[in-house]
Amino acid sequence: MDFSWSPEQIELKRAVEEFARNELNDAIIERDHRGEFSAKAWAACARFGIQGLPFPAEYGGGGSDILTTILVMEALGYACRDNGLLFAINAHMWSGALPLLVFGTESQKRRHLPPMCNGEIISGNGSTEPDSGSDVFAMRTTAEKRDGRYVLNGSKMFVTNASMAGLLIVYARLAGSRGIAGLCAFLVEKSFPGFGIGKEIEKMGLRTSPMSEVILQDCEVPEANRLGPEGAGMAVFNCSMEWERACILASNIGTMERQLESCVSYARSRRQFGKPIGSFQSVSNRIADMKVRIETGRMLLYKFGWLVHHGHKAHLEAALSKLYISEAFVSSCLDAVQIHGGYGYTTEFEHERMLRDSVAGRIFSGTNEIQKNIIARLLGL
Amino acid sequence: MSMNDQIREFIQRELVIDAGAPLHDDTRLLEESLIDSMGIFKLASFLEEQFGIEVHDREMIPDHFGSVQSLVSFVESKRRGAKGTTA
Repeated sequence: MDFSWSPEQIELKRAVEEFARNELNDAIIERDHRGEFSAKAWAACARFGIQGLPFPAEYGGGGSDILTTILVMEALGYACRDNGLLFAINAHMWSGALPLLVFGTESQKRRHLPPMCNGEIISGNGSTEPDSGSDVFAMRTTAEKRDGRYVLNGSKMFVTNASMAGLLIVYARLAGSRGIAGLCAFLVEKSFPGFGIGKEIEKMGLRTSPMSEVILQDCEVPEANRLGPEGAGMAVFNCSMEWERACILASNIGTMERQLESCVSYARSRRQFGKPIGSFQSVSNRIADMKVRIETGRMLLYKFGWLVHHGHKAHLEAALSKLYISEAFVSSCLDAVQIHGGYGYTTEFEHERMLRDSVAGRIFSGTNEIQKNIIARLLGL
Repeated sequence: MSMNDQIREFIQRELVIDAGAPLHDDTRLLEESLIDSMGIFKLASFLEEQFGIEVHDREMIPDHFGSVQSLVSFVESKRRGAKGTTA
């Protein structure tokens, strides 16, 4: 098997790393403390072409294939220390723009994709509710069809980008429908009457990525803003989740690579009992484990990308990637804190923030318990 | 075995949450919650392997996957479309 990247991909990776290192790392510790998103960094990423990277050029995108996109995300994770920014970008791309690309009408795509690709519009999705998280299809938000529009009522929880979004994909159940056949997806614009944002939700990690509740009170959505036919809500959601599960954690591979370098450097220079701490097996073994996790996660992720690139279904591989990489990131963050000892516990060394950021990966895009359920079901259980 | 029977047999053997529920050609699979979202993925893979068609993400909707009969109609339309392409 040929695992090599093309000269163009390697050059793009280098350019992304340089861009991220120079433009995306301002005042991260302070902004994490304040829970402050960087609109400046978002705009810089958009100018560079990040948000539009995998989308067709006819809609203002970069037209990149999935493997190149994964490589770019990995490079961002390596050189950008703001995990919240990367999370916001990924939520926008995979739960907002991608379902629009797959299920949208030509009119919807031409209207909404260009400003999504150039970063002018920030998007995301409203699916989770206060009483339906893992059991997302038990949602209670309703959509009643009236006079050529849908009237939405309900609330959505843990909506990433909500406070900044110009458009959200909101999932709702057709009034009077039963089962998953009644679920629909809607392009809900901020300006629609009845659309409201609740207060910002303060989080353990990914604090520079905004998250709020969304409240829909007789929110009027034109029929032209329904995404896909009636009943397509489950298909829209599943499509979005499959890409999100794998791609949203691509940046974690890059972050783990940076962590590993930091730990190797520290283990070589920090001396205790007259020796570099890297000479003690309890430290070197941790570093070896970190390397194994990176390479294993990378292979799972690249296989997902390869399958999708060649037009194959990759539901199993998406779940495997998400499960493994998210757990690996938490483990590596714990190792990084431990290797750095007391310094690892301080905000200055940033490992504690990586650890706080990493825990979310076990929860979003379907908890890791759900990923195991998916894997087991696809194996025939 | 007819296509209806092949599909029905796969659904009953691999997917049906409520094993005692009757499964007719017009039984509403999704509205009656007889199969769930994971079941739809497995059903799509079965249709691809068994009948040589390609099922896209945007085609995994109730209009196609809502009943045994709608699945048969979907497969037949895909095959007709493929023949038209290669003719």
